[in-house]
Amino acid sequence: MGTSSFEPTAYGLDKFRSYLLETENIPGKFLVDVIEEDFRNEKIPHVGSKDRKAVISRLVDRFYRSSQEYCYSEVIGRGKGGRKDDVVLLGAMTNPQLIQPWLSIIDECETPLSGIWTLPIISKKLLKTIKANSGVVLLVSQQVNSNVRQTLFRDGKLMSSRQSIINQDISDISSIGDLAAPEVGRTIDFLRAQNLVAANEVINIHILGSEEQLPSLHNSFKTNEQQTVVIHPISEVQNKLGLSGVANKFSDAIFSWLCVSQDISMSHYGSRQLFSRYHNKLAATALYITSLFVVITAVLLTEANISDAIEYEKSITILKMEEKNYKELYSKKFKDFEQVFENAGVMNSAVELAERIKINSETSPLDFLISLSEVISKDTDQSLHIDKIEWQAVNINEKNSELETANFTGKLSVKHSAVITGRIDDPDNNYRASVNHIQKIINYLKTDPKIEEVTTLTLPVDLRSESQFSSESGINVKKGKDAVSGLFSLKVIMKEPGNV
Amino acid sequence: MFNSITPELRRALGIFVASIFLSVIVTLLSFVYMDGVYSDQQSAKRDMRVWQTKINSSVENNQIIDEFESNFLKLVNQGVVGAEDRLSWFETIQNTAQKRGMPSVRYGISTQEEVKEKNIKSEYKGIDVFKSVMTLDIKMAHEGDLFALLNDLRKASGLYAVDKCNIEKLGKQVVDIENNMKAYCELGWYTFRGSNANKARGS
Repeated sequence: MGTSSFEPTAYGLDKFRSYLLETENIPGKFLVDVIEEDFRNEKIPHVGSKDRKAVISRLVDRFYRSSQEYCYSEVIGRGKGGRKDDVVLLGAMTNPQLIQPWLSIIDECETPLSGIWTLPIISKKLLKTIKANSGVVLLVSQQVNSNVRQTLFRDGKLMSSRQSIINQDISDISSIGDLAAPEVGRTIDFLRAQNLVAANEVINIHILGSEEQLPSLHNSFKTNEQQTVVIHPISEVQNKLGLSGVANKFSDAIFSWLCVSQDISMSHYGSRQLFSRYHNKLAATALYITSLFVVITAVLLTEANISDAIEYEKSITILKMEEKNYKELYSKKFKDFEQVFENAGVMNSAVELAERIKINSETSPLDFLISLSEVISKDTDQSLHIDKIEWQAVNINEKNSELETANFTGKLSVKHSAVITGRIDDPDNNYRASVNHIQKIINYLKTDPKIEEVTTLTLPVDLRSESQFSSESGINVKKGKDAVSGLFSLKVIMKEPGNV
Repeated sequence: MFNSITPELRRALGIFVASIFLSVIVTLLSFVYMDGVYSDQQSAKRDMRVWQTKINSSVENNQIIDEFESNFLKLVNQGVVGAEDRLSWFETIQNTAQKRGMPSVRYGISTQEEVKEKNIKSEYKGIDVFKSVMTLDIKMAHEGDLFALLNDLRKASGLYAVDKCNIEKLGKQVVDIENNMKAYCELGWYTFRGSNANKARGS
């Protein structure tokens, strides 16, 4: 960190050019502290941002037409009475040509310029350090030998600023108090006259001074009922800001540092075109960073792809080895039996199907007759005769419960279906006895767990409402023993063997 | 606008474009390489699995053969697998009729036909099932003759199931010792053969 000063003469400008050409081409900031700078407070209606912009633009046009690109505006508060208008601080360099030679050299040397800031506004950043960010504060500082800057703040907000020329010997700055005090007095009178500070309001004067200026300042500036005075040694302020190794004769280094150390903030003065080189540099830096990011991403992706590929390659080697082992194992143990293995499925199917048919074929007339005789044998009456059995193996359709010809290869159980035709010896046209007897047989069948269903097709004495029946009774009616009577037929569905 | 672009920004733009181009190319190439190797790996995995499956299937077939071979051979010997042994069926009927002194046993057999039940193709793969329908028209003294005949046929070469059987007493009053009953039965004889698809594969 260091400082250099250049006079606004042809020699000074040449020296400045040489300085820029000889030093590293890094972005620079331009801090302005000139006498041709004006600050004023204006009240404007409290409107939306777009309208406010238009109103301020008109104000700038009115007050600073010739230096529109070197104007600054900021809403610093609202009026207390009436319609509570916005209070706008307008600042402008009234003679921008003053800095033009410097800007030309900066452009000539292709130095990226990030912005042009004005010292009074930047000095706001110092208030916190010197503990002066409340009340009415008049900050008095000297950046060069011939000028004194006096800036007025109210509660940390810039209200006005003025630079006064003093006739100080450059080799002896110890009598600054005598030179500055009248100027400060005039400034205070002006501020009170402008009603920026009320007549009975106390002004807190904060003065920055070098070690050799302090006695003179203490002598010339005294606290009274109208003002308080705090004198800050420049070296002490520099220490508080962490500045070391810089000149502490004047306050220029302090404000330069405050200007440099601010983060991204908009330039106070100047057109965009003036800073295009800096913006180009920023864009170039962003592009370099993006390029680096792109390259790193590509490297990472490539690395990931190659890592994956290497893993796959390893996996291929292992898989090939496994395949080889399987091939060897197969040719050693199983190759010769390929033909045999082809029949394994056939064997399996044939054995399972044969077993299925065997199980289903157990549903046979023999099984049916044995089961039927077991049921009928419960009837102790000897008058029952079975004459005909029409037996069939069936499946019961699961969907419609209809009987179908048995499929012995299927999983559906094969059941017995039989029409049993028989006789009951008719005991002398004793209808009641016949009805009771056949009903008893039907009940035996129905209660047997093997029997699923019994349907009566014909009865010996069919007295059911849906049937027709006729007979003859009388003394002349013969009771012939040869007559076939007491016929019945029943349809029986019986479960498959083993399912009881 | 482009007049205000500094050489530094131009250089940065060039580097940016070049880095994008190179990055895309390199990433793309590495992806193509990785994708190719991945395809090879998948192919190697498939090849390995083919042999793995072959071995597993061989082991499984071996187990099936161990489990079913003896039963299968029994079926072959019993004439269930392969060609029908109709002669043995007729001989059994003749022998039983003679042995039991049955008055009349008339028998016939239809031409063999393939069983087309849907479940066979899905549940029992690799085999075709054929069925020959045998009709028995018997006159007999009592039902025991029919059952003896059906039992003897169980011992003959083949596998059968009775589809239907009508058994009728002949005289309601008169007792004829020899021609007391008649029966008409239909039996299905089942035989299995390897399916055509199986044979074609075998050849």
